[in-house]
Amino acid sequence: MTPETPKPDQHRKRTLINLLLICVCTSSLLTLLLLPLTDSSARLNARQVFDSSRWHSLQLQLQTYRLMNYLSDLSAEDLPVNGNAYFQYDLVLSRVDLLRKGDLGRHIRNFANGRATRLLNIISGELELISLNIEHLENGRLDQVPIIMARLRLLDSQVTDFVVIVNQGANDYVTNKRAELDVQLEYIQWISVMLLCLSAGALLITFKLAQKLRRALRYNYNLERQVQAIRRGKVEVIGRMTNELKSSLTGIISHLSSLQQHSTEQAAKDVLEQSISQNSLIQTQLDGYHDLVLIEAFQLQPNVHEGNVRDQLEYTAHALEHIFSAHNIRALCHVDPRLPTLVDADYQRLHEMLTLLILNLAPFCTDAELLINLRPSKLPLLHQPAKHGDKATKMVQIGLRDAGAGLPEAIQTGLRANPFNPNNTVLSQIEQMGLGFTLCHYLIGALDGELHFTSSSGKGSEIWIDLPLGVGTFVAEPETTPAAQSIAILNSNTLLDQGLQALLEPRYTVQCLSEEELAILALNTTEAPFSWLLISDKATLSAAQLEYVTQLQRLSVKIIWCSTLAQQHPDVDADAVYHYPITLSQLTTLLGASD
Amino acid sequence: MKRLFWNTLTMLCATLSMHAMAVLEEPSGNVILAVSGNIEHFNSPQQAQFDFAMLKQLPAYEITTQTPWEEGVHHYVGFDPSDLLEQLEADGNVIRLTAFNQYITEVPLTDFEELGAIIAYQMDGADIPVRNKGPLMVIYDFDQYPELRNETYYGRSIWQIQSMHVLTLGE
Repeated sequence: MTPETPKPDQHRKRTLINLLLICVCTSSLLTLLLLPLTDSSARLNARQVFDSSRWHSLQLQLQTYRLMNYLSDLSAEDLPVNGNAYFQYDLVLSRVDLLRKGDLGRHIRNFANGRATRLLNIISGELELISLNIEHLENGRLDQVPIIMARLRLLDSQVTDFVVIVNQGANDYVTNKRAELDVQLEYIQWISVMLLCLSAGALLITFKLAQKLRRALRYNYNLERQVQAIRRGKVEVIGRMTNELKSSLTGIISHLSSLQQHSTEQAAKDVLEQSISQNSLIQTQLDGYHDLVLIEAFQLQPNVHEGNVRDQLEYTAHALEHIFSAHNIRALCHVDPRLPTLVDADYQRLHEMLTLLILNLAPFCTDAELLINLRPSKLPLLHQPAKHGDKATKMVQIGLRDAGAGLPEAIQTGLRANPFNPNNTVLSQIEQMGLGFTLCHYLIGALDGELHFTSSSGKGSEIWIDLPLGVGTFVAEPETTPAAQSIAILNSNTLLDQGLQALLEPRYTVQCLSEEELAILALNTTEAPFSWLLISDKATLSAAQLEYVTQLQRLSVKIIWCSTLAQQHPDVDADAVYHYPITLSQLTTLLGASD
Repeated sequence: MKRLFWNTLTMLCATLSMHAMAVLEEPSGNVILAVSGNIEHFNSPQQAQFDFAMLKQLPAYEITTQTPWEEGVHHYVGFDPSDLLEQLEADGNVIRLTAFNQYITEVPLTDFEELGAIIAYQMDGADIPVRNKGPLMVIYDFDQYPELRNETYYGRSIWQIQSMHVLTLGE
């Protein structure tokens, strides 16, 4: 055995994982810190470039000189100036406005402790005063030019001061911003170094963890191999045990059969028959348990071969006869006529599956009817190959419908669970719903089938098992041809009515008869419209009913009823007696033999 | 004979020139924009001159945005120079705009076609005075395209435009 991983190693692993998580989280936080820093840098940089206060202050000075230039060039010939004086004046004022408003205005406001703004206000005020002189000039008074020129010359020093202050302020501003950027760059450098260290740490931890992961994978691989070896061993041991037990059981069955043949007493024969049946059942159960071990070890190989699907189903049903008898289950077995006779299937597993399912279902449908149906399924093929040999694979449904007590909640929960979910171990499934249901559930899954069910307390259950079988093609519904014989089924208001009808309809003309109709027919008719009367699911008949039956017999109607009624009314000579499970071959034999 | 030929040639050139000029009407008001360069139609020697009324005849476009040189959001109305150049059958991909203070900038025509920039002549429902950076200014929709808030587009946002020169720059 491989020794268990030592605890200190696990502790170290956990510490490394925690360290890695811390590294990743810290890196993420640091990266987040980088975002506002870089964003701020971009903003500062953009502002520094954009805030071209120097340019605009110089433009103010330039426009002032242009105004002066314009005025100095004016002569009497240029009059009237037609708004040109205002135009030049407005160009100067537009620069002043620009320097006072918007981002630029806010920016300049802080230069030289507000001196720039004060100067700009003075310049603006002086220029506003000139507007009156400009107006006179526009009105043709050339004498205003020297006045305006004098005022502008006085303003010149203030404009120059303003330009100098703005220039110095802009320089200081840029220097401050650069200092801020330097600090931020320093932060970024520190953060980058920390990120580098963290990345190195994370790399180291990842390397260490990768080493440990490699070791753990190797350890897991060895464990898997061990598990496989244990499973193989288990399969081997269980296989041997099964073979030995089966050979013993086969010996017992052959002895019992021999005894049964030589026995003269009916009671002894019946007991021996039951013993043979039980031993056969034990054999089937043993095969099932062996299969469960094979499924667990992923070694189950379906043994698919061609067979008569009707015969196989009836064989399984008959093998369970004593179970039906013990629980007083009125079982009926029906194969849909659309299914071809020869179908490719793993019949051994099908037999195991149905046997175990019915065996485990029987306690919950005591004294009730059970319909076993084999019919084409509406489910599509999903993962199965489209063909098996030369036959196309089709989904076929086995339906089990009973009118019993319903399945307990634990079994329902177990059946709803996916058998191949790693959390649903075989052991937990067995603890929940018993060995039989578990095996059946796993076997359906192993044969690529699906199980669905519905169950209602006191009303019974219906289980649908959809399996992919090599069917070829489904036969179309056979056309109804006039049957030689007509059969009336006395209504019992149970599931058997519809089961019997479905079973007999392809071969006989079937009509259902209520008790009132039976009475009317027996009392008023001289010729019955049917040749057989089938009485199902009755434990006993009343005197009146017996009278009607006798009356019908007088009208040449043959009576077929179940063995219970035959035992209850030995005085009535029925033409045929059927046993549960009802199958088509049994009914065909009985109806044919009595013709 | 030679004299007759030269007279005829001169008359022909004059007629053709008159025809080219006749396609574009004369401005009746103050000229606020002079277009020159690779254009086919003129209404003055080497130039196509426009007054307000002529510019307002062009399809009008609107932009509501905030600019760095104005407080708050303002509504601008103006024209797309592509429409103007189409009218002049101009051939070019760049316009060189000159302001009253002789500031010059070059704006690719794609800025007007793809970014929806305009040359605005109205701000908040009124003509833009010279004092307030009028009468013509290039406006980009900085609110719709925040990525334009950089020096390149701020530099192209020229105001107090007085002339436009159409030229083709190598592609």
